[in-house]
Amino acid sequence: MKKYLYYPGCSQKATSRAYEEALLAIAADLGLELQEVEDWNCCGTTPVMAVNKVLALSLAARNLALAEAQGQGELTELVTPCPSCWLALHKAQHALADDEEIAGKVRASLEAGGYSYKGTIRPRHLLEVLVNEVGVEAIQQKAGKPLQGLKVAPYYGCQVLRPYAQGDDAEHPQNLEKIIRATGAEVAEFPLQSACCGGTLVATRPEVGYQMSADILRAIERSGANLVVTPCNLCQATLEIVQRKTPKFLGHKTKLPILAVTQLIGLAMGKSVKELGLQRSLNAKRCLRTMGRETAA
Amino acid sequence: MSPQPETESRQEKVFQGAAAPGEPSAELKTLFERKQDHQFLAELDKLPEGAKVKMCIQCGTCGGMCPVTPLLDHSPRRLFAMLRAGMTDEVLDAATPWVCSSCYRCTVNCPAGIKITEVMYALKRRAIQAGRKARSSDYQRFASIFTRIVSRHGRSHEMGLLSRYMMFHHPVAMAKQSGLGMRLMLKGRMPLTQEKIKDREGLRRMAAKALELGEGV
Ligand code: SF4
Ligand code: SF4
Repeated sequence: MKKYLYYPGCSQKATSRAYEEALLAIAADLGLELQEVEDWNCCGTTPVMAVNKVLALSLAARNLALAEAQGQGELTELVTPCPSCWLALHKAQHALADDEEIAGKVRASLEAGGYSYKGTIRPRHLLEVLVNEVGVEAIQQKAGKPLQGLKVAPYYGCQVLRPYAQGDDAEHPQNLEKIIRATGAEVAEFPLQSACCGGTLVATRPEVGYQMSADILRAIERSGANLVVTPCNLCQATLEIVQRKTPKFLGHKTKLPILAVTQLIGLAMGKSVKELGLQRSLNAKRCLRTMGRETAA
Repeated sequence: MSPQPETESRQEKVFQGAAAPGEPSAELKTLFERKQDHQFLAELDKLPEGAKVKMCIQCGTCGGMCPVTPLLDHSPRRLFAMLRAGMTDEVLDAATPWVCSSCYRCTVNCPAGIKITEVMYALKRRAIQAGRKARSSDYQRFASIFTRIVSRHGRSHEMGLLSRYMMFHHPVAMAKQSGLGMRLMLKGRMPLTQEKIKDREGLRRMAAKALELGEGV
């Protein structure tokens, strides 16, 4: 068993619940032990950064501080499935190490709340941990129900690759492809695999945010893919939501199942629909039909 | 009200005393008569993310790669040129930082190594602090509601966030989207109740301190 501290992030408890459900369903089989950080808080993602930098970094740093205390020096690697959380935690870690002035302010804020952080935690994104630590061989071995005949589009989104592509190649990412192959499925090649889904604009500038996702869906559809897999919870939810509106943006409806990477692995491992939260998809029926799971509710 | 020490009128320098054989065009006139303000650029220069803005080579890579180009009133390239020209006012009123989706594509491709996305955040913060509301409003409101929720409860809450934001700012769109909200709720993906962390006291003290120390950066 490989032990990690675990930071879920808010959306894993809400819109992206299925991503986490599937993660918890496959973790033990893959030899991962995840210890959720006690009393973690929101990572201080993009909206807070727009308001106050010290606050955004302090929110992230509080989690690092709690993780450090809980890990007691034995566990120092903090895994999170959310690219946006990962980036926020990683950025805070960088700022504390490299930028004295900001670090001083963040530390003073932590102290005001009764927290302290020495700087020993290493935030890592789940996708990279799955490939570089668990390993594709292990995934392949556990894939008792290989997904033969499925063509899967690997959609990365932005923040696992930019600006820091930890554990992968920023220009030619391969981590998702490796996982897809390990599940026995075929990789569908398409452009726009690291294009922005426009998720942050869906609430504030829907006309543009929707178009960005619609373009990605069209590219995926043209690749002949049966389904889409992504390591990003925001992308996953955005593509699903936009897909309901594709007739307006593309002139026809795209009908793709859009899964989190943990759900894809779980399917190959033969986990049940419930365990993988597949029933939570907005187009659940279509998902199950594609996977040949209509009956196994 | 408060006079800006670094401000100077370029017109005074360029046109003063110059006998004018031909009047400058209206466009040129507005440009030349504009007050220049280099204070913000000087402050930006001291931040790790802003230090390289002056090194922009105006290649246009950033604007060419940006996925939200149709929404930009100025590309990052132009914003940086404007900053260097002392057009701080226009820069702070620009829509660009507010529609930037933080995709980091420009940042990883900028040949001058400018952390463009982080500069966009700095521009947003300064616009808020300077009380600029005109252009940016939507995302600005969204961001402040979000910030308030997480600094009080420690967790974000999509339902609370969206309903507060939409109800006040887009009641019609909200009615249109309520079907989606309902579906997400039925799928167990949109909890009605706000999650809260245990140590909210510590969190609030931390947030209060951070807000105070974070002024001006
Ligand atoms: S890519 Fe960089 S150097 Fe080129 S115009 Fe944009 S900011 Fe300037
Ligand atoms: S980070 Fe912002 S400005 Fe840069 S390319 Fe992406 S959306 Fe455009």
